[in-house]
Amino acid sequence: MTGKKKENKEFETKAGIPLKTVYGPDDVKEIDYSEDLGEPGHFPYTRGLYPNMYRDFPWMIRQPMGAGSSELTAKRYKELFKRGGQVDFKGDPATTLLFDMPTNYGYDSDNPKSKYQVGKVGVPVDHMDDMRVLMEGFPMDKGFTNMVIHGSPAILLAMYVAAGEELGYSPNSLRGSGKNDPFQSYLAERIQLLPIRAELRLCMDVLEYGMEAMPQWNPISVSGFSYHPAGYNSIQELGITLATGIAYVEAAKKRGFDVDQFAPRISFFLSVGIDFLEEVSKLRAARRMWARIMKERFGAKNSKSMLFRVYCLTLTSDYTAQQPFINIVRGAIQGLAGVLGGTQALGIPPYDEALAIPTEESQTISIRTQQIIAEETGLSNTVDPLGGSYCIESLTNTIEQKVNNYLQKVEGMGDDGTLLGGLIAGTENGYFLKEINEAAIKRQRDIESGKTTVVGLNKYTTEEEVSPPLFRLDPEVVRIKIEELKNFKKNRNGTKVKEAIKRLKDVSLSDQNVMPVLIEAAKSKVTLEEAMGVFREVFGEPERMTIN
Amino acid sequence: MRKRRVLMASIGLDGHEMGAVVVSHALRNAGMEVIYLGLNRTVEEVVEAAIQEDVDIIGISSMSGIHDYALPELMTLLKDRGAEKISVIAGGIIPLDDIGMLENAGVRKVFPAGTQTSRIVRFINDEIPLSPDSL
Repeated sequence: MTGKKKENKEFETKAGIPLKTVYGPDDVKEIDYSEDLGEPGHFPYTRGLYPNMYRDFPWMIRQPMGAGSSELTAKRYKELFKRGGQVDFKGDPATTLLFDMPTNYGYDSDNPKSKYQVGKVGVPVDHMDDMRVLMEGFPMDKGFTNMVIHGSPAILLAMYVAAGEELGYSPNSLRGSGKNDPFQSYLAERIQLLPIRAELRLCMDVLEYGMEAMPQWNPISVSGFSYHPAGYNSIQELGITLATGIAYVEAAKKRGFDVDQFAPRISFFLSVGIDFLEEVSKLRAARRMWARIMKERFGAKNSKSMLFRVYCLTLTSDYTAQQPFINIVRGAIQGLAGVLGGTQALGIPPYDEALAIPTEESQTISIRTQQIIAEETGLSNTVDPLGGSYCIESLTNTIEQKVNNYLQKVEGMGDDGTLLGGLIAGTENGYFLKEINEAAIKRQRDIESGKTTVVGLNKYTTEEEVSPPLFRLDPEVVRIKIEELKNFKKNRNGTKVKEAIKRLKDVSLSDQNVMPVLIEAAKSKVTLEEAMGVFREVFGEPERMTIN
Repeated sequence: MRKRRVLMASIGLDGHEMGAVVVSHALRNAGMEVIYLGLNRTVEEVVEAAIQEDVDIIGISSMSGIHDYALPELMTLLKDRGAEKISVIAGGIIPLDDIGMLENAGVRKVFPAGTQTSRIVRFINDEIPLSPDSL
């Protein structure tokens, strides 16, 4: 530690909330226990969604995974499950699947645009057989599958349902969630395949299909996570998450759906960063805010509509490529914040995340980290142990205030005073992209000026010697995938495919829900790119949104 | 003396733009002219734009593992087009073990994710002089 006394202005959280020297009773005297906190499992759920929380069931251990091919990913999944990872509350299998870039962008593995990227950062899925191979042996009804899909959620869900049926699972038995968050795809992932309004239509089609046919599935997972590495701080991340959640509820209501019918199936996906106090408070504020929003803004009557059910992933932009093993410590501390914040599921990206796709060994360390938190620390034995802390309750309040400011700002950005209108406006005119980018620039400036310390990066640096052992994708795996796709196209019924594509085009042009036809198309062996091609043709290309 | 001209781009399918955005900003702040080509570019598009814009440097951001093929391809295409005088630097998610291969292929310097932008600016100013015919 350097021996310099810190200036007053240095005592603030990463999102810029000033931290007092010490918090005391005065900071919490305005808090009403039953109004503002409530018992766990009671409105407004600040202290936890359920009365007993981890005393009944631990959080899900869900490490994001996916690489190379369906076979490789399925093999790795089974190995991690053997090591105690990838489990839900009851010990049944649970997983979070990542897809490769061509799949996220709606291209098949043989498209020239997919060159060098097949299987690189996730599983390649070209058609329903890929999905079937991926899920073979996985209990799709008892387990939990979370699919992190960017550009083509409707198509991948259709393939998942088609594969499920072939494996003997009816759609109404499928348990899991799919991201299906067009604003996040646009603004954080920067994967913009269709105009935003077309994406919203497809998003709502998925929601409606989920409501009618898949009662165990969460058809929308509002995903704030990626905004954080993209530049936003925790307050902005929660702000846009809630804004987006509200927008989807508004969109669903516009379609005539009843709030209490669909809201229970909306789930969330957030980061947990290294600023411990801020991150714990962020999760508590999120729960309270969502409950209040659902009850007061939307008049929800069903308590299940008010639950901010969240999957937390430790924040990879806090990790360093330098001295990567220390990311193990970061993951543990961030994971701890997630647990003390009351998450329903947790993923700790392994230490080599800043370098490559994880190895089985690095994934295992992350799994063991979760197991230590769950079974050694004692934190699971009592609910919301930080509740009542003067500092934490004060920060929870402050975060709620600041996030409310963010929501008001977005509400004012559109013509109609809704969050949906504001988000569309801010997406189309580039406002959000600009704000996110500016936040990224500021964050980098703070690191380079030394205002923010990043151990190993701008302080306590060493000259790098060697990489840790890294996962390398065998090119043979890619060659086999492309070969397989060639044969797939050769062996399928070309007439059936043509007809399915025609029907998909017709339904897309209509105002009918595309999902039933899309699922039939998947069963008729239409590929991802062919389905996406229909959407591209019908809905047009998005405006290219790049700043600079 | 004219400003250094830098083309910034990301090759292949990838939306991870933050690094490229931050570096572009820093280079501009350091007095360079930055042409931001953005995301999802092909090697051909990058080389074409670099030649047309008469840049001194191409900066490639690689965040999804495309570096080991795309960068050597880029170097080859630059040579084929007679544009070897354009220096190429790269950054992003690039393992240490790959840096040697990339530098052997002609990439001037690789800056792994997290590298301070001041270091990138210093490298460019110290190690990539403006060519005589651009003064």
